[in-house]
Amino acid sequence: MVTAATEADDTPVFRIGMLGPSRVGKTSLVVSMLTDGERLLGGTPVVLRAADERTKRLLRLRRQELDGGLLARKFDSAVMPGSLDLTYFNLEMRAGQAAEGIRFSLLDFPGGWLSEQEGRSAEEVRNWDECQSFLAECNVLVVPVDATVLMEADQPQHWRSVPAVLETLAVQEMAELWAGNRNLAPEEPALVVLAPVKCESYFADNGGLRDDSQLLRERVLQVYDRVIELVRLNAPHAQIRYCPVDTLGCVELVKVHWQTDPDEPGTHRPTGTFAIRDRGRISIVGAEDILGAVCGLLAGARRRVTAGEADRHVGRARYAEQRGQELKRGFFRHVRNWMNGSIRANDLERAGQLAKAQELRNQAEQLARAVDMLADRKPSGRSKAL
Amino acid sequence: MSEEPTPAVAAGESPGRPEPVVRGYVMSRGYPRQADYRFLGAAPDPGWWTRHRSHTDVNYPTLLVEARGGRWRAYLSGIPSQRRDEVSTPIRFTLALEGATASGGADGVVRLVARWLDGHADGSGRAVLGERMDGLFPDDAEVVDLRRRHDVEAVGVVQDRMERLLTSLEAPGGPEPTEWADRSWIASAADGPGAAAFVERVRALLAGEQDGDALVLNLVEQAEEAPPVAAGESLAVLTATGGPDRPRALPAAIPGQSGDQGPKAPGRTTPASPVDVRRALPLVLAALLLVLLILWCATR
Repeated sequence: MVTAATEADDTPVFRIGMLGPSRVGKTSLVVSMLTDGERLLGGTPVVLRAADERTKRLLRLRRQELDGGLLARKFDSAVMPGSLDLTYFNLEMRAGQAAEGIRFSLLDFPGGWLSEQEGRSAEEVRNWDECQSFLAECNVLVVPVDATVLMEADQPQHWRSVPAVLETLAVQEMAELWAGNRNLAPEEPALVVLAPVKCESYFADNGGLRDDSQLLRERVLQVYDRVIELVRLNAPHAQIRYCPVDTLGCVELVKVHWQTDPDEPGTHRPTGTFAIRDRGRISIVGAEDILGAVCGLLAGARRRVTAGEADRHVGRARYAEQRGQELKRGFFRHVRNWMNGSIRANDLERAGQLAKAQELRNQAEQLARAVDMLADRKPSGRSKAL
Repeated sequence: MSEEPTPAVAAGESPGRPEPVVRGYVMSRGYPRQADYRFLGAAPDPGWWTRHRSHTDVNYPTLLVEARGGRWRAYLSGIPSQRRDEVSTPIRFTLALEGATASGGADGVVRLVARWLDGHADGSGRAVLGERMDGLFPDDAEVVDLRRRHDVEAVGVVQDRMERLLTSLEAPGGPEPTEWADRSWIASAADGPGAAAFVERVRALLAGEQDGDALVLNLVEQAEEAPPVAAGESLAVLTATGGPDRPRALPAAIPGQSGDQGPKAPGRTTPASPVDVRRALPLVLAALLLVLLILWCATR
């Protein structure tokens, strides 16, 4: 069955990895995507929720912090503090009337581990190894991109600093490793999402004053061109999507100040100051496109697996039917097998396999409908397949 | 819960330097994006606190104290700094400490725990600690430098400042630390008696009077969700949210009893059915009939 780790009960667990440097907004994007999962997938037969109490509380802690930061009106650029440790979020997606949910696991980690390889402690080495193997084997790779860095670069020295600020080389290396692994399992679902975050000031569809969405897209494609190329080269079957996100939706960029990095004098680093719009009510846009793409991909993969399982049960039923004919061949054999119960046992086996096949086919149909509805639902208009 | 704390072998530690009574470690980050959270100078015994991941998220205020086998260790996260990072979010400090039980010098650690817990809900105690830490590490450039270094000098700088922190702390006002009657219990961190009993438990652990854990956890809200109590040890749990208003006893461990029921046998576990006589009888009769039929055919 598809990639993914399996839990003790053999249920497949799809993996989603967040690939971005420190302070790019990975955790905020996770919160945006997951705390409103049910609302974001509204109008579809798909429901996404925390798979366990622990994940529910992990999300609640982060959402409280986000809400608290907005209420306190202390918002500058990010409300979520940086991560100290890796965090797994266990989620469950239910599609249609399917009896079983589709489980997936999402990993968030301190972005500094991605690029800073010198002077690591034993603990950091162990943790990064864990993250790296998760990222290499995940089905979905979400690459958050700080839109402010790309859109507010207006001097040559800013542009020269962009690869260092966004750690694009480290992202490329990891994306190449991921694509190489995906290529080893071309039958498994694979998706890369390029997700510019903090996009509130560059779209006019969510309270923003200007529409620079085309320019943002061009710049993302320009800077992440090599990532796209490496994925296409190494994993031709992987889908690539562009999904810009208003992580909060209620902020407006006021100013950006580029400073020289004292450790790397040739590098300039931007600091944005944001103001809160209106009443500071969170209005996430774009996260539903990522969720929709992920859910569609996973539901589609699960549908194929479920249909395959149904076919296997039909095959076993056919075998039972042939065996039944064998058991009934000849008068004496027929009498003997009837008397020792073999014929009845075989009939029950055949009926059981057919019933299981029917149940799985029903599930596969439900999943197929869910995939269709996710594909047909009204997108934000921002997302594009690349 | 029964893994024994081992003496730290700090990176860059000088063999000539006497082992301090309390060894302290500090984790923080610098202003630049790439200067992410990392221990300054030396790091403690790799990630012992990660054993508590299923019960707490160290990204949010967490306090863990363990004592067994003559050693103790503590981990305190969620201490805010006034410094901010490149995207303007407040930076935090995380402290890790360790030492031998009953070796003296633990009073400062008990006061540190009491201060961390003070006003847990609004974080006022942690804010006071944050101010002290900012006073000790005022320069972001120095923090960035220390997080890269593992040499003796860097380790010494951090150790000296941790010692200054511990000696400078005074106990916060509030209820006097009092031992709770139960050996293992759970209470809300917002609860005065619970916090006072927790501080007393930490003192007893560091003094070597008992082995066990004292934990402030943010993913546990009810007694049923608390970590299991190890046999012969004590466990005090404070919950960051929810939890009983007054300390409530946790069930003691039953020696020899393990939650692990052993590996699951693969496949079916139903024992094989005994021979079904009712089914076998027609078979015997049929066989007899068959023999008779063959004999009859042969003799025709």
